[in-house]
Parts: sequence; structure tokens; C-alpha cells
Amino acid sequence: MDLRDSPTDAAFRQELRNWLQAHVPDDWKRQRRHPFGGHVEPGEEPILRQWQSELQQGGWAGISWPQEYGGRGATVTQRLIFDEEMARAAAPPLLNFAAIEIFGPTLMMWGTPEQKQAHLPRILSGEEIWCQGYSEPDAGSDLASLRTRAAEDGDAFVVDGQKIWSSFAHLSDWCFALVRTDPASVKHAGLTLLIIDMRSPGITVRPIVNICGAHDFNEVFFEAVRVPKANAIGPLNDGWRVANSSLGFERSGLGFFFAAAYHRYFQELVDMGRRMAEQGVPSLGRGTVRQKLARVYAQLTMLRLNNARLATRIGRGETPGAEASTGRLFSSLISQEMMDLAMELQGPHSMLAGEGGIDDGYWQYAFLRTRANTIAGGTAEIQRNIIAERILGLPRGR
Amino acid sequence: MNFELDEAQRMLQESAREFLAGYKAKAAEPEHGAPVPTALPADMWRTMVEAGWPGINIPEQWGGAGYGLTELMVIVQEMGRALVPGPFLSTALSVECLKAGGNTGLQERWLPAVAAGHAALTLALLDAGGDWSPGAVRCQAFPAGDGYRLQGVKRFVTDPAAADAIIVAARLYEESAGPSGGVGLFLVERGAGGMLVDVQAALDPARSIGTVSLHNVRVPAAARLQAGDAAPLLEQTLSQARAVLAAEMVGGMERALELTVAYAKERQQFGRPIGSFQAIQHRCADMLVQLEGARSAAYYAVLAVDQGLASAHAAAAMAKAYCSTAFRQLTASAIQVHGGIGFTWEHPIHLYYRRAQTVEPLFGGADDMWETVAGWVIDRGDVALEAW
Repeated sequence: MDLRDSPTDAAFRQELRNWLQAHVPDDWKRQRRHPFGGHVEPGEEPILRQWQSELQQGGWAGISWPQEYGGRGATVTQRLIFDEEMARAAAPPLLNFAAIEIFGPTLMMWGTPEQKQAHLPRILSGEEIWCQGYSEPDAGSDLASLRTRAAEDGDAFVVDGQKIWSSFAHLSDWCFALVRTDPASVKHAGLTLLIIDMRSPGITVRPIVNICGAHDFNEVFFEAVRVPKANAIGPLNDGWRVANSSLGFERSGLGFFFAAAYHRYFQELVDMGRRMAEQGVPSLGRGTVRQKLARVYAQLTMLRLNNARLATRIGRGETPGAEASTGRLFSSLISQEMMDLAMELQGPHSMLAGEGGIDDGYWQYAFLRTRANTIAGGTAEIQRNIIAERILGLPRGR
Repeated sequence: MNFELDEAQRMLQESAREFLAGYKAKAAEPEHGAPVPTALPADMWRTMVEAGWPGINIPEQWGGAGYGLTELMVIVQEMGRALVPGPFLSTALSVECLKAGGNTGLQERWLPAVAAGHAALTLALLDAGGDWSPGAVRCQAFPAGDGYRLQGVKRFVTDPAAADAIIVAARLYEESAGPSGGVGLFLVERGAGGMLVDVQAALDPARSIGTVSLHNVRVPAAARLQAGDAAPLLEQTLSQARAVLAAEMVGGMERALELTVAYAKERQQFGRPIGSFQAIQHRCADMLVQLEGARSAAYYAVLAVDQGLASAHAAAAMAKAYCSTAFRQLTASAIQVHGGIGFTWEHPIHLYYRRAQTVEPLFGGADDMWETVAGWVIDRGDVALEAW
């Protein structure tokens, strides 16, 4: 066993590192940004659009995509390296995350040549920003029970319904949505994956403020929205199967995205702890706190190592083992433990938020924000059900 | 990026697992609550010798298989899975210490015998208290003639009665002055005058534990493993022990989870298998998360110690701490899922629980191990995504 980079991978890492050194915007580097992603301050949108465009020009957007679609066909190991270096450089996040990681691959698998040509390049460049329209007020964990309908009318669908938790819908040009095209169907049957132009008449985006006081996600209302039939991705009424190729990705153990970034937050956490100690808050000297820090560090390391095992298996052409399925759950729990600890390290200062707080309330934001990590993209309870049923083979409980 | 067992290691693992599946861990009926230890059947030991296991980490020049810590880890993990008793692990760790010590006389005397399955060894490192570190060694070594005189009581020694020779850690003393500051490691043969071995009744019937008392035990100069201060060698040996023990724990965790899942699928109540109830499902899922993290931690500890990475001692401490905590929690959960039957002597699940409790303090308890990791993390300048 060997964790060192191969010569090819070492060259890849160095190339990226050099590029990031030259391209991460200076004003971005200086300011501490909101951790755990999924947040765009009003003034940040132009910076992030520009960043996405620069990444694509440098050949660093969608590196896992096949080369024929503008990616690098990067290996899983290179993907790990990419996420590590992005975290090391504290680079801005990718605005088009949902499209690059979820919708893009789905489109590659199921789209017509016209659909691919129309959208894939623009996803990479950031010309088209995409949001996901899956969950509904009555369809969260039980997504298959969704009710937004798309009725056939000539060469179009007429879409009526409501989506919720749609991140960045307020900034998005396009939405990939799961809708019910067979009115007589229930559950998984009769759904279609439909792409909808967000400028279509009849669409209303209403912001939802989260517990951090930030606006990231939205309700999206569809009132008699006409969508060309050509916007269906994959077969009609087979959308559940089509979408699950993306949902599998989102819920998979590819906590690649998180392991590296979490290490950076951890470094910041230790630095903050030292500063608190200098201010007379004794937490970092306490055995109990030191042990908690050690435990968080251990789990972060294990998460990273689990990824290394997964990358090794995939690189060898083997089926991923159990370590693949535990990543999402493991990383979400670690993030919460880490930010609970952040509060402890601050002693009574943990009561302060906003600009009067330590690091302008960065840690209070993170503390609140991590509650979503065990809810979004598949709740911890659903993760455990999936692990129990699909990996351990326990009988379905319904 | 290569962080899984290779083809040969996997084959070793499969064959070891298959072979050891023939060993059924159980403890003989207790008279007064303390389990009676079971011994490894002689024919099983013979097969292991034939397969080259005792010499797995012994260089070929001494009749061994010439493999390293990773192959040792693979075997020990499978032994942990089956709760195989016997001095195999104690011996293998002692072999590592002998190899690194560089005393060729001792190596020639013992390594071929170990490889042939004729000799067992063990380490006697701990004095009173729970601090395994070199700084806490209190047993005394005085110069005597052209050798040494050892005086002290070593505690929680694994397999002390089975060992043909014991590596004892003692602080070096000048005869008329105080301690010279350094630590010495001495190989003391069974039957040495003044050495008393006392095996103690233990919570885990699959691992023999005892005390080794040394009353003016005379050893020749040639019995000293290494000239100078052996504290770094002792630290190295402790880290190897922690890393390999972490793998033993992973084996135990795997089996405990397997038994649990099998039971949950089979046991029916309220007209359905209990494994279909969410509380049981969620408990098992959490057990799997712990197991996979523990596995990575153990692999990394062995790799780091084997390759002498800067993180080696921290990695070994981390694996020991995490795996022991996870093992205890997992086996407690395992008993819980088994319900009433999990609380019977007859069902083997309690043996894994006992193993989990007793492996925790060995070679460094979790509290001390976490503090070692904390020191690595907090007191260094930079922990951000270090290269491995």
C-alpha cells in the first residue's frame, strides 16, 4: 500500500497548484468566506460566474467529464487531488455545482445529441447556471410521491406545481425538474425528467431564508408553464430511472467534495482555538477538549482514507466496497461534531454572532449551517436505511 | 494511489479466513464467573507453522517468509475475527523488536526457532500504572559482572507463560548512583533465576495476561537488544503493537457485525424479521460506518509505521484509540441487537465484547492515545491536508 502520488498524478497536482496560485482572485483569498458552500452573497455572483468561466478556460471545470464533452476524463484519484488542491487554495466554489456533478452526467447518459450540444458546453463555462427541481413540500425523502404535473398539449407540456429547496434557483437560467407526466400514475411510475427555461412565463421564484439568515434556496412555482416536449431528457414516463442515475451520484459515498474542505476548516478551527487560548479562554488546554479535537481529526483522516480506498478500487476496476456508501453519512456527522467543538472552543464568546463575533460570526454560521448536512441530499435516516438494506442486506422495513 | 490490499495480500487474507473459520471461539463454562481460557488446538498450530505464519515477518535468512508488517496485519486481523488464542501476536511483535534492535546473536538464537514454530516470545513493557511510554519505565537494570541485574514487576504482559523468552523494558542504573536516564531492552529466557510468571484471570478468555516479577534476575550482556538508550526502539515497538492490534480489532468488529446482521435477518418478532425495524437498521448502519473508518485507520497506521512516515506515532495512536472505542461501542450494540440471547454465556457475542474491553488498555489506553493525537494536531504548526 502506498499513498504517495504516482509521477503522473504528482504532475497533475503541481499543474493545478500552479494554476490556482495564478488564478484564485486576490480579494477572494483575503476574506474568510462562508464555509460548507451552498451560499452566495449578493455581491459574490459576478465573481463566481467569472471564476467558473476562468476554470473552464483553464481546463479545470468538470474534470471528471469525458474529454469529448469538454472535460479531462480525470481518474477518481485525480478528482481527489483536484478537491484537495481546491481546498488548499481556499478557491471559490463552483456556482454550477449541481449541473456539473449531477445533471451534466445525466445528460451525457440520456440526452439526445442536440440536447447535449445545446447545454453541456454552457454548463462548463457557466453561461448557463442550473438549479434542481426535485423536492416538493409534500415530497422530500419520499420524492417519488411528487405531484408537479406536466400535461401534454400539442408539442409541449404544460407544467403546474411547486418545487422547494431549490438552491440558486434565483440565479439560475435553467432547471432540471422531475415532473409527473402520467396523471394516472403513482410513485415512481409516470415521471419524466424535464429541463425548463427559468425565464419561461409562469415561473415564480420565492426565496426561503435558512436558519443562518441566508438566502440560498427557494420555492419555485410553476403556473401553466409551457415546456417543449423536446426538453424531456430520456424516455417519457421513465424519469425515475433517469434521475436516479444522478441521485445515486449525489447520495453516493463520494464525500470527495467534503473531506478536503473539512480539513481546511479543521485547520482554521485549531488556529481559532489557539487565538481563543491567547485571549484567556482555556478550552484548548482542557483534556476533554483536546480529546474531542483529536477525535474529529481522526475521523476526518479516516474519511480521507476511505476515499483513498474507494479511489484505489475504482482505479483497479473493482466494485466499490462498503466504504463508498458510508461517506455521505460519515462526513455529515463529522461536520456537526466539528462545529459543536468550535462553539466549545470559544467559551462564552460563542454567544456572539455577526460582525461582533469571533471571525465575524463565521463559526456561528457554520454551527447553524451544519444542521443541513444530515438533512440535504438524503437525510441521515435515509442514508442509514440505504446502508442497512443495500449494503448489509437487511430486509426492507415498510 | 494504492490503499487497498494487493492481490497476494488478499489471497493470504482469504486463505487465512477460510482456515480459521474452523476455529470456534468459546470459553469453557465458568465456575465462579471468570471464563476459563481455551487453547489453540495443536493441529491448528501445526498447519499455521506449515503455512509459514510464525515466520511471516522474519527475513528469509532466518527461515522466515520474508514479508512485512502488512502481511502480519492481514493474519492478525483474521485471528482477531476468529478470536484465536495463543502467543502468535506477542511473538510477532517481539520479532519486530529483535529485528530492529540489531543484536545478531539474539536474532540467530531466536528467529529461526520462532519461524519453525518452536519458540514463542513476548514483550514486558509496563510497570505500575497505565503509562506505557519509555519515560514511565520503573523496572531497574543494574550493571552486574559483565551483564545486568534486573529488578522490578512488569504488569499486563501478554502470554507470559507461553513465552520461551521475554523482552523486558528496564531503566538503566549506575550501581551506586541513580538512573542513567536511558531505557534498556533485555531478553530474559524462561527459567531465569528470580523470574516469576503469574498468569491472571482475565475478562477476555482468548488472551493470556499476567505479571512477570524480576528479583535480581541476572542476564548476560549479550541479552541486551540494543546499545545505548532503547527509548526510540521502545516507541517504535509500541507503535507497531498499536497498529497491528488495531487490525486485530477490525477483525473482531467485522465478525461481531456479521453475527449481528445474520441474527437480525433471522430473528422474527411481530411477524417480521427484526432487521426490518428502523431502530435495528440504523444501529447496524452506524456499526458499519465505525467499521469502515476503523479499517482505514488500521491500514494507515500499519503503512505509516512500516514506511516510517513522520505521522507514524500519531497514526498508530489514532488507530488504537479510534478502533478501541469503536470496537467497544460496536460490540455493545451487537449484544443489544441479539436481545436476550446476546446475554447468554453460550452465545459467542460476549466474547467479542470482552475482547473489546481488554484490548483497549493494551500498549496504550484510549485517553493517552487521544492525547498523543491531540499533541500531533494542536502543537504542530500546520495540519491542513498534509501530504501523507
